Amino acid sequence: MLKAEQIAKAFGAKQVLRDVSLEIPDGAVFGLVGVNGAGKSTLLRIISGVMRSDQGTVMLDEQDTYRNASVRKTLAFVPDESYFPSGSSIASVRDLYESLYAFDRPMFDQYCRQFELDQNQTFAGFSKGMKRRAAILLAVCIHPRLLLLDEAYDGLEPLARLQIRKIIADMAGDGMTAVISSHSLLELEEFCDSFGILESGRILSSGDLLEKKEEVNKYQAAFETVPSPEMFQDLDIMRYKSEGRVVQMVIRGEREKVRASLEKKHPILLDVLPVTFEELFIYEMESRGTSL
Amino acid sequence: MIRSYFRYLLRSRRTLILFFLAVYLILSLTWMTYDGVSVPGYGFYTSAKMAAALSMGLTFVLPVLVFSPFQKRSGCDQYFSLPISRKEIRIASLLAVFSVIFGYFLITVTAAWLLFGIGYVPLTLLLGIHAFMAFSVLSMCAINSYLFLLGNSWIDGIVILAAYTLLPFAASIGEGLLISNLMAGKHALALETHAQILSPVYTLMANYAALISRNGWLYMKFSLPLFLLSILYTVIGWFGLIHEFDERRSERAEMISDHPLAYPLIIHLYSLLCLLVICSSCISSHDPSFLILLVLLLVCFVLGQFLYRRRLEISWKQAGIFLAETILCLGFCQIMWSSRCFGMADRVRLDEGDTLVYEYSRLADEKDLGRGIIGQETDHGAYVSFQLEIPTDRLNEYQEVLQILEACRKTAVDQWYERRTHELSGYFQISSKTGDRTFNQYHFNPDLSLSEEELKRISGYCDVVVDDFNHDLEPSEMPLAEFLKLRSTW
Repeated sequence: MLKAEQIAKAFGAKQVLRDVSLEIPDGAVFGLVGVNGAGKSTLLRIISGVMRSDQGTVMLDEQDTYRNASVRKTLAFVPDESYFPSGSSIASVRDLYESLYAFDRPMFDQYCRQFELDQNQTFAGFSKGMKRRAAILLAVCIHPRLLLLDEAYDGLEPLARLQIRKIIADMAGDGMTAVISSHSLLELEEFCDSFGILESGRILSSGDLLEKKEEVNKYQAAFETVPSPEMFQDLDIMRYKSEGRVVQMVIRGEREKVRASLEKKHPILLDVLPVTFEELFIYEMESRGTSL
Repeated sequence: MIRSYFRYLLRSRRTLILFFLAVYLILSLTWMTYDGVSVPGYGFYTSAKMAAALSMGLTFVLPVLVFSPFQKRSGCDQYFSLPISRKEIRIASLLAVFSVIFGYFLITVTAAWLLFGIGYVPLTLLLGIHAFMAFSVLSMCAINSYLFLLGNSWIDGIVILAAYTLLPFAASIGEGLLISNLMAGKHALALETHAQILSPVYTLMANYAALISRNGWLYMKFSLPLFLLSILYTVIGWFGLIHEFDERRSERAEMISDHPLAYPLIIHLYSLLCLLVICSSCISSHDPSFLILLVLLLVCFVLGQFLYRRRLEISWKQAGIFLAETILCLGFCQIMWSSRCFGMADRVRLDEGDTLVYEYSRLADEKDLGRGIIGQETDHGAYVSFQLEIPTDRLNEYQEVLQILEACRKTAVDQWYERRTHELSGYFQISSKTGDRTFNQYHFNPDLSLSEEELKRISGYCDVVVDDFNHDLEPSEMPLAEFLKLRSTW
């Protein structure tokens, strides 16, 4: 289990993370989302042990990831920009990984063939997408207990995204925990089971994605007379839009209870629609007054 | 873990290592063949010297290469997330750099010994050279890695490394100029400065040269104080590196290099050095160009701040600090001038070295050799000169001339601090000598001449020569007594 408690981090006068706490169970695929500068990469760097937090601890299986280098044997971090020294090849990095981790060479060779990566070619001749593939494959072939992916799909073409998503989903099925940050919320939605929204260094909202999506719904209602917003004061409205006698609302709350409450206002028509992860993110941000 | 990372470093940079090896061998072998075949043992000496120079050069290049990933955000992400501690990365990196550089040296110098040194260079000396170079390489790698890591980007790291490496030599030049501007009789070029001992390269290579000199090609002594200084620098470099690397905050990568020992200190050290030289020149000569130099230095200060902060601006605080530094330096130089360099200008030791040497040369009136004349009046002038060498263990026997010459020196010092013009042609020089080494040199061009009576007394201890070039005498140079006798016939 990954447990982060009261993480705080400042870069000079700028407070990047404030009191961030997370608990991610084994086998979960956790989507970390937020606007640019929200602190996603910093949080991932702290979890991976690259960066020391000013306050709080990150424990993977009750071991500190910063202080205890050996716990990082079960942790793989793929940053948003991979670094490979000039002149090095996949083979030279693979050799390093083989000597540091329980590296699955047959699996790696197979993936390299699948993703058309020449292990002896130097990285200088690789495109951004190829470097990205290589970095992800190197990471998954150590069979990590925790995989951290920053800007997971950056530079990858759709087919490669699909294949990598499948690899991660399979490994999560085997008990691997993945924390994935991405701006592609539609893709995260397809295989994340939990999520966290970071905003200005704080966790704005987090939890089980399905539960959260059930908790927030879009309601469209039409009334005989033009309704006023005051009519819905008893509801937790995240977004309100009216056009004549038709009202569109995003409301937080148990679907049946909200529906029953709206029915009491005698609408001519009432539709309930589920929200996507992307919409959920946007409504959460809007409801906190953050402009996107 | 250390072995894994060590092996990775060497393997991933195999091409570069082979390239440097080729360069190293080509350069060393080229020098090895220079007179190496015809003069026994010389080939070994030149190659050992060249190999040491190249090794020292590589101790600057390779630490930059292995530690530069940690000054990039992506490099920190890549390596600090590996299951290897920072301590292990540091040790493996240093070991890799050391192995490459010392490996090159070992191969080259051993080859040179086998080709040109057997029979001329003892095996024990060869082993000694290897042991000392192993220490030197390790020391320089630790120091240079530490200095490089003070920067937060590889460019800043290189600038900081270069600035600290050059600082002792810049300080040495500054020391020479400051003393020559404020101390009577001292000339920058003839000064023995001491600031270079702040350089680890100097302390190591001075002793390395001394070690090599044992084969008879150079005559230098191994200096224990310099060796102790080398150890001190190594300890500072080692612990500095531990602190800078093991405790490094990875968020520093690619930020401005605001470490207290990085730009903030370097800019002020160089500014102070330049200010001291400019202010001493101003105090010494009352030269109005002082202001132009000061403005130029201010521009350099702003450029330094630009390099540091990536912004071309100067705040009131920085301008205030610069002004305060200028006032401080002006005040310090004025105190040095007023106190005659804290009394050092008047405090001269005559008994240092084996020999005390006085040299005098003056264009004088041929009718009165005690009256100096200026260059334009040469139609009735004659050059009077002498070089008096006094063994320092027999100073008592020379008391008579010492009184005359020391009085002359005192007058020369007084005149210098009174800023009296020095139009007379000639000079008055004092120095100490031990073997071929000349030190404690004082050079004056005073507005005074020794009287004929004094010259006569001096001629009792050494040859005082008069060169009367206006008369067609053959030869034109003659001893003082002969000249005086001849003159009495005119």
